[in-house]
Amino acid sequence: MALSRKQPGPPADLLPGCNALDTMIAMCAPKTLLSVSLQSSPDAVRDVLARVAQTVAAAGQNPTATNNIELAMAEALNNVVEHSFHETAKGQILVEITLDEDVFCISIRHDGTPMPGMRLPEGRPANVGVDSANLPEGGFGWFLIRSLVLDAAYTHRDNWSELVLRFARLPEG
Amino acid sequence: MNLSSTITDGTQVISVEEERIDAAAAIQFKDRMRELTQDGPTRIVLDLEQVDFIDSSGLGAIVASMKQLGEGRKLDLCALSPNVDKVFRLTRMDTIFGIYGSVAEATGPAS
Repeated sequence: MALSRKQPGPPADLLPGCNALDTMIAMCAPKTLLSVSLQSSPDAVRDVLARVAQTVAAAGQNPTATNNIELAMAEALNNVVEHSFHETAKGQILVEITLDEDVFCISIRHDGTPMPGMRLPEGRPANVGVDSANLPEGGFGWFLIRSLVLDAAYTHRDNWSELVLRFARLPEG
Repeated sequence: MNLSSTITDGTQVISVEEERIDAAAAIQFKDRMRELTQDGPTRIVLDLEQVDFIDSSGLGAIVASMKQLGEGRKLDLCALSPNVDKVFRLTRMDTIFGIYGSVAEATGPAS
């Protein structure tokens, strides 16, 4: 039922280097709230976002913070559909949500094209101080994600990319 | 993507009759806006009252809708829910559009 965290390659105990992602995973208690696979298409993203929002809301996240998670996840998943699978619906994306006491840890895994330079974009704010004819129509995604998460980590190993976004659990009141 | 359009006192009000303007809807939104604004008043107010979720693709589609109006025409926004308002504020796009609380406020006499 739950997706295994194990990835292809040497077992974790043969990799004593303990990278940032492993540290992050270790910090997240293995209480899995949602584990789903989706096709790389905008409609499938919309469906899975509804499940993500439902899942974190059921775990006590207040409506504003639930929308923050849904928005960051929308940006992250839309980027995967657009840039890792080049807007073809042929890829599979795995989404897993775990909850530590007060932190949601959300993993997005896929075997499509990795991030350029194998690292996360800086996410600079788009320049809106220009003539309206030259206003940007995109490039907001990573700025929004970085504005909404506690932190973000990316790893690429054995052809698989994993993005882990963490969010504070913020109950009502 | 359901959009409805009315013209009141020389202003075209376009109401988005959907809960989401997201990546799955962005292209349709932009196309419908182009059809509805091909000719008509110079000022258009986009009523977002029913919209509860927008992502950066949806935001980009609204910006594109404004740009495709061409010179001398204007797109204002009204009735942004907190979730929609947040996306405009974070990206600073709230500084680009005129933003009103409601259709009545957007189309009422200037104070």
